Amino acid sequence: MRAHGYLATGRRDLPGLALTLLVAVALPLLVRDEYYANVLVLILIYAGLASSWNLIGGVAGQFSLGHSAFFGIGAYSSTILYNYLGVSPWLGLLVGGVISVALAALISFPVFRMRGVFFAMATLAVSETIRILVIYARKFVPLPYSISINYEPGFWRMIFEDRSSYALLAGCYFLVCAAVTFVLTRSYTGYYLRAIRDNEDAADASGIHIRRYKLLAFVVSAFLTAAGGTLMAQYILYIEPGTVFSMELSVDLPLMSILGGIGTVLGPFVGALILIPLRELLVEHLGGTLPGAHLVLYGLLLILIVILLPNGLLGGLARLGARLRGRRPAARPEVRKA
Amino acid sequence: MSLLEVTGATKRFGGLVAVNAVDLRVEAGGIVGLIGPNGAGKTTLFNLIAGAFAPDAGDVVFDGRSIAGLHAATICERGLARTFQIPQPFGSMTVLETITTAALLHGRHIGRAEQAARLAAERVGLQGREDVLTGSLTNAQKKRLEVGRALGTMPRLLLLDEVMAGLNAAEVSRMLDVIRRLRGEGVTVLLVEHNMEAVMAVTDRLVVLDSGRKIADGPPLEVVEDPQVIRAYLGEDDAAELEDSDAERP
Repeated sequence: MRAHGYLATGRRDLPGLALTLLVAVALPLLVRDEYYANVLVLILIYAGLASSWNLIGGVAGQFSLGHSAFFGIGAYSSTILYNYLGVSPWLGLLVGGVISVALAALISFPVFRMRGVFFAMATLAVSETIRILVIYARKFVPLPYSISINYEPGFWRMIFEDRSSYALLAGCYFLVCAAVTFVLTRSYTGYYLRAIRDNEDAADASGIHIRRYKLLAFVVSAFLTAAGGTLMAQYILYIEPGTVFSMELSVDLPLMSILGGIGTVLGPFVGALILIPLRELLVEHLGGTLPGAHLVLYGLLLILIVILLPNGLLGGLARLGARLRGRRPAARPEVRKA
Repeated sequence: MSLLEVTGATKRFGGLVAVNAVDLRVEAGGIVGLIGPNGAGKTTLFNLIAGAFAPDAGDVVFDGRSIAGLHAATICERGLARTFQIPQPFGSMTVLETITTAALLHGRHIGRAEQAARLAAERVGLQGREDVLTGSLTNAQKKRLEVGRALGTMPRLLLLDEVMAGLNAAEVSRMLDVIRRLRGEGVTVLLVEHNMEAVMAVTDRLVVLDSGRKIADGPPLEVVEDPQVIRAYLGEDDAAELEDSDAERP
């Protein structure tokens, strides 16, 4: 068998890499229709966000339910800096990222003491606290509840006339998130994070400094999530605490990862590819006539998919492929959730 | 100087003194067995050495430096690796991936770690099983994988926690082969074990714990004849009976 270098890559990575590049760069350039371009932008931003979540939640196995905190910080940082100080959102993106990294590092001390559901609940509590603090802060600073960004297209303002430019930007964002995941999972850190996810005692006894690697995954995840927050704010051109710090987002990101294939490089993208159009369709066809009905159907579909494909769509496809090749499927144990 | 030197190690759990002022030396190149009845404090002492928790008093010196109270990961980096009594496999990994993870301790190059892992797998008799998921291994194989994972970190001292418990005779003899081979390769071993026969077969020295105290320390054949050891294992009455019957013998 061929020995690999610092990255464990094989020929089986090639189709995934090609698909990622195609989706991230070629599709945005091809899709001209406004409606589809909008869906594409959302898919790609969510694919990037879910990939970011997947780093800590899937690869490292620390099920965060508080990622809206980082998303919201990213959206608020760039928007406030742009609207009040005229700072380019490109810089604002970095500022939001750095603040999120600082928050992640700060809360890592208490939350990493907890495992499983307790970790999930602690991160949920943190994100809710941040949302409430942002609303509360309006007592002391003249910050409106919702903030709109004026529509003045320009590259440095990160505002574009056509949706395909946004799609290209979102594609690049997804590409960066996928590339970071690829490098982290295929290098020694990938072995370490998997070891930590599988069995902390054994990881510890193998010389792996658990806190250090969890923290690494957490801060990278926080930074990339904040970047997605900035992108979304620049796309929607409107933010408010209820939407950017919403629990719905904190739940959507793990959901997409699980649906596509948790812990894998392309799983989060596959999950976003299914969930976003599904939701758009349901809202479109049911949202007007039967308010709330789309949520019920959405929930039912999710339950079905998770029951039928416990390892996500990619896991299901791998099993199908193995069966078609006439081999018994490898009993890949389920990733421990929460 | 000994490779491992434990002096006055004490650990309390509430009112219970699990390990009470125990001294223990392990010389480089030897195989030392740590035995004792259930609840004697063997595993607690083992955990004090491996860094699962810090001693309340006393010191643990490895290779001239104190390791008492250090993180398990740091102790492992210093060259002291342990196995777990109940195997703790990485559930999503294959045999090779598991040992590769451990072997990455000495270099981040995956190819080189994999090569080292193949050698370690071979040393514990798991060659040909490299691509099997850890969950599909038999219990005996999982136990050997524990040793393989520990060996992956290239330790100078290997702590084996009841690696023979729950194995049948054939599997025990296989594990003994693995341990004997390690001795030949210059790995120092500290072995916690219940299986007396197995311990006698491979160790150079035996240390006996009872109720948290060290009651014997010496060559295996002498230690098992020690009346205090017999008493600890058989209880006062049975030991007295045994002594009586010995005395009656002409």
